[in-house]
Amino acid sequence: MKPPRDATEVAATLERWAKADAEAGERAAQRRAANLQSKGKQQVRDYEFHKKPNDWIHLDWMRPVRFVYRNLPFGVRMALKKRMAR
Amino acid sequence: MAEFLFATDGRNRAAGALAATAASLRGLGFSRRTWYVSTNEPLPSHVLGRRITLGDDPGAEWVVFVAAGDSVTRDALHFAARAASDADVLYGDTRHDIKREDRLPSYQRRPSFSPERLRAHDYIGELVVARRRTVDAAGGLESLVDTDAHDRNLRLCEHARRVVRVPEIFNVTPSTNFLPDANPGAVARHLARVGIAASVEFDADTPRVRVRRHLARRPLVSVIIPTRGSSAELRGTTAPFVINTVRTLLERSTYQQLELIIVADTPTPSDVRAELARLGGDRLMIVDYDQAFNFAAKNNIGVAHSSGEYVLLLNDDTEIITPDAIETMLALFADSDVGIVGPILYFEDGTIQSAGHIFSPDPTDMYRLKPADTRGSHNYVRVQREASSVIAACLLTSRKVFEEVGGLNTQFPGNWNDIDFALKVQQAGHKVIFTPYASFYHFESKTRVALRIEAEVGKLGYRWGDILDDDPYFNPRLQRYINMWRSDFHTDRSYEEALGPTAPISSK
Repeated sequence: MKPPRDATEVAATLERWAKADAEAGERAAQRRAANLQSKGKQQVRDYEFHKKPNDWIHLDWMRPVRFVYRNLPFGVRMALKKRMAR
Repeated sequence: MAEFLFATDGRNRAAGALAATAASLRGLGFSRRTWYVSTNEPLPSHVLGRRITLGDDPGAEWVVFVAAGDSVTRDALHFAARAASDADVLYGDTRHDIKREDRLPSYQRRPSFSPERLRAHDYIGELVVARRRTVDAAGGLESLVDTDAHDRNLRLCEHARRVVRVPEIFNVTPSTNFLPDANPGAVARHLARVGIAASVEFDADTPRVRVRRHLARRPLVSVIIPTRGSSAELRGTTAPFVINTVRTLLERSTYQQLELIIVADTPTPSDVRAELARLGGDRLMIVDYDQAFNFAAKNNIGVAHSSGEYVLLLNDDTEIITPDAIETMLALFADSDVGIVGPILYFEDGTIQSAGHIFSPDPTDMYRLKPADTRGSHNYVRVQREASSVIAACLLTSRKVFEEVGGLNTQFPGNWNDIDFALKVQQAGHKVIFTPYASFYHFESKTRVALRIEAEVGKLGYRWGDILDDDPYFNPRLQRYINMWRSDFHTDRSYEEALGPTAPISSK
């Protein structure tokens, strides 16, 4: 069997990696914050996964509404989309 | 308004198909429409109608390649006209306007640019919008119109500074073929042009192209196996998992440049340690771990003790299936931008445990619990491709990349350390590749329920929330958090088609 490496050497390596991880995490957080800012948002609470899908749009009685939406002029559709996606 | 030239291969196509495309061009709502149609004989006048000029237009900024019979949507032109200056090629989603029993159309929702997947099959499809200068650099208009879509898309993407996916419908097609085509000859020529040393194998049944990269050298691979030496029933016999993992790896793998680092919890039985030492001989090291369970920390310690140029993180409840799995994964590192390679994992009964991850937005094992012969939507399971993350139960990475990003984050002791690691690796400019050509068993419990800790969700989201919300290798139209403005009425069905029942990732 191979003998394990020297414990001090391993501890120093792990410490170096922890620092690199923290730096990578900080870069990620900054990128995400900039991304949110570019959309006019800010993080006001901890991140959460989105909840259960909101499926009301697929209800049968919504079909005419969906039809009208799909056939709106392009610019109007995009403007609505952007506004509602906020 | 940007100028568009439309280009169609009209050879051997029915006049009706060309007339349908011409009608869609007339309906695009701007005055100038120039259409380059490659034909064997002159087009009948009734096909063109008014307001379309036949021929080339070298002054056009964009070329829209459209198949005969397909319709172009305004979205395609809208997004091209507003594209960033370095975006040279754009593609979008496709609506198949076919008469199904339920009268609902079907969709092809595409991921962001995925060059490895493009080598496997033409997931980009028939409609692509490219800058004229890119078209010229890729061989010229005539050459690109006359070739098939796979060849054309490979050539265009080679010369594009940036390829952009727009998750909007770019074309409507009457085609009933939902499977991406694959042209092995085009892929072989592409590999020669970009300098990838590989052979090409074609599976006409799927269809898909396997790019089998040549393994130029055989570096040392350190296999890191965290364990507690636990026993469980496997194929009717109760035995320690870790012994099965090590024994099968040493017996079956055709790659034996291996170093085995076993990170063993203090309670690991002495007979298990002794058997591991016997199996591994002087290639095996046992590192004692006497702290609270932390999957990330155990792997980091194992890697810190190892010396291989590459590192295979391997759970102690796994078993190699394909003998050349390590060579297959290792060969992918010939591309300097590859940072992680993950195989397909199966449960003991042969159902899929993980075919890579998607974020929807909670990280999810793709095609979990689906039968082994599942092809997935558009053959997704069958092709080698980029992924946002792969499961750390079996993951190959290079020591250089592992050290560059600081290994696994020990703040995720059980869940999502692999997600965080994969995203760090991509942030550092490397790619994550999923390959179905390397496979392992992962004897994780099929009924295991993920222990979700909200604080961990918060930590993961603090770093990567925007990517979790919009996985680049998924499609926002298929996200689980659908609503009217990010989806369409058919999304729920498409999601099922794409993924089937899925389950959140449990801890390792």
